[in-house]
Amino acid sequence: MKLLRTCWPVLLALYLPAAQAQLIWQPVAAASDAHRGHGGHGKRPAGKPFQLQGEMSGQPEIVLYQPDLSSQPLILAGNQVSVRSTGVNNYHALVARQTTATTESVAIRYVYLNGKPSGHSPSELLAQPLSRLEIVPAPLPREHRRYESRKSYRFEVRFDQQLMPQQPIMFSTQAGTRLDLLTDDNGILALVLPEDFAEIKKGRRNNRPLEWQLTTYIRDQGVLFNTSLSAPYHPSPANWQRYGLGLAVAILGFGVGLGVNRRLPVQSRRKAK
Amino acid sequence: MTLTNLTLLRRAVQLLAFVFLVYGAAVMGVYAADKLSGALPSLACAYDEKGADYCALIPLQHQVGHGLGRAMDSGNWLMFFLPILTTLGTFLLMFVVLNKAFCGWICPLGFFQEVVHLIGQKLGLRNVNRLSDSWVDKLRPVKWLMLGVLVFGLPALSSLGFVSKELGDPFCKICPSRIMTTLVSGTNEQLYVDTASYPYMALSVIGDFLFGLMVAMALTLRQPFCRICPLLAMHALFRKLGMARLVKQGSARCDKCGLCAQACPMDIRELQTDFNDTDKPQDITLADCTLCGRCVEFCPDKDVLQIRYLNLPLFSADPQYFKQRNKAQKSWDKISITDLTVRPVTKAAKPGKGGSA
Repeated sequence: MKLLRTCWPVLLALYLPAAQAQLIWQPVAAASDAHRGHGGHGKRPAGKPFQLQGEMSGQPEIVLYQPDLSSQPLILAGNQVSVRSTGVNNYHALVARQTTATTESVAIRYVYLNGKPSGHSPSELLAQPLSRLEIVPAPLPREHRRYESRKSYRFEVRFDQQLMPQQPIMFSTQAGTRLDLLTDDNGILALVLPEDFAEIKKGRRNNRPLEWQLTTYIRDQGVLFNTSLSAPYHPSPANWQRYGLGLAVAILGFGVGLGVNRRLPVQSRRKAK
Repeated sequence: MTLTNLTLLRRAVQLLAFVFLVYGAAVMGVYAADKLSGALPSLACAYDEKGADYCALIPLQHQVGHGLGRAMDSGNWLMFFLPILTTLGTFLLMFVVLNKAFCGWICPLGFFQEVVHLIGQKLGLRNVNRLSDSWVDKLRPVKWLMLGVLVFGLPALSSLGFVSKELGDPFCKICPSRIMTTLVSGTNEQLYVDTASYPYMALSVIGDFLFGLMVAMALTLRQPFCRICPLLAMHALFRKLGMARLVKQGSARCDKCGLCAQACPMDIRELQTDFNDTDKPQDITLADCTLCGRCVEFCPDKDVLQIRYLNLPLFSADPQYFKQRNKAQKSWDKISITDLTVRPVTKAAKPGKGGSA
């Protein structure tokens, strides 16, 4: 199981046709601090390190898009890159692109960085074309939220900004779940993240996130386009939050309130005539 | 055009504000960055993903809870104060426009309680109408405690490591608006008991209980939660900056009348007792006032009470208006769906004993 968790992106890359040369962003395990709650408040690390996995022929182009859609190139050191604060808050897009005469491979990851309010909505970043073929969250989890198991999320698959109906997509998780999916007639993929954590402890901060990824490819005019989207996901809070009990406590409060009401005397500021 | 019923106008504004603040993400967008201000002077909730805005208390708790310890460590106090000043500045930019009317005219939780009270009355439940002066005096400091302890105190102590991290945003964890707004937007995900830790469990139980208590009490008593709301306290701090004001130029008749205080949903008795012999109108926008305007509506004496905007009279007490409004209120009070307080007559029941609870 541990081997599977460590090597799953490599196994996934082998599973895909070799010609696809799929690239995938992964967090560097030791520095993955997303589980600390609240997306990394507290002492700020020097940067969030990610590694690019997959078959690389040469140096892929790495670009970090900021919430205001400005971009900055990053340099891979080995297969790793450290995403440092840009000074502005909110989602950034980390994009790796490798192009040959016959392939275009893209890996996309939306990274939340802290800083001053950017004044820009993540919807602007999502509307920005990052590659010809891309899987776009619709929408991303809101600021201070995160992907959680048991919840449904939607994704759009776009090629040249056109939604792709009935497009095959492969979904896989670090825990070994693998699903072959299709977008609907509108080019939307609706997906409930599986609860495939080996062990779930009570409390969000006590569970490390796992990784999921979506990959798809398309062939157009002799060029094979493939793209991946990856992100962490957390166990559903429903594992330690009891909704029935919550309702029971509210009903108890309601009952006590009715009792208090009966004891409240009727008062008047008006003197009785 | 003459205004014949300020309360009806207020209800219409409240309804629009409720729909916008609870479901407005369809227009504004789902992300926090899409929201109107992120520091609204009303209890709209950030946990309601379908909402158009959220109140200033959540960013303030987070900024204190995350920033204070960091600033102590680094000595960079600018990093601590700048976000807080930005939130307060945004809050004030809006607050000066409407002042405490954000409570009486905009707040979704205030409107919800008014609707529940209306339902309670139309179901024939008893109307407590007002609390005793001693209870009002006991409750008044609670809002300051809520603001001081839950919004600033515990998040600060949490940031400094004196209490656990779970107490970083304690007010949000017990706020009835979190449960109400998410329930009405179609999800029960905020009505839970959290078993992750004892602090979370305690906070979630208090929150759920308080929500149930508020709903039950609102059936009978006007605005039960508003009386202890920390935003009301925050409004009170800045109320002198607001452009909208309640002013009074009372007379000796006020001592005997008391209709204004009777009409006040927050039981502000000073409406009747203060400023009864003044030469000029005095600002009587008191700490508990929500600028709902009911006191002005039910004042029978010309211009004794006024809502002023930039010191210009916007709505003034008027004998004619009072007569019409009083008549309308009496007609409205007669309308009843059912009387739940009437017990069915049984063989054992004696005549005349089946009255209200």
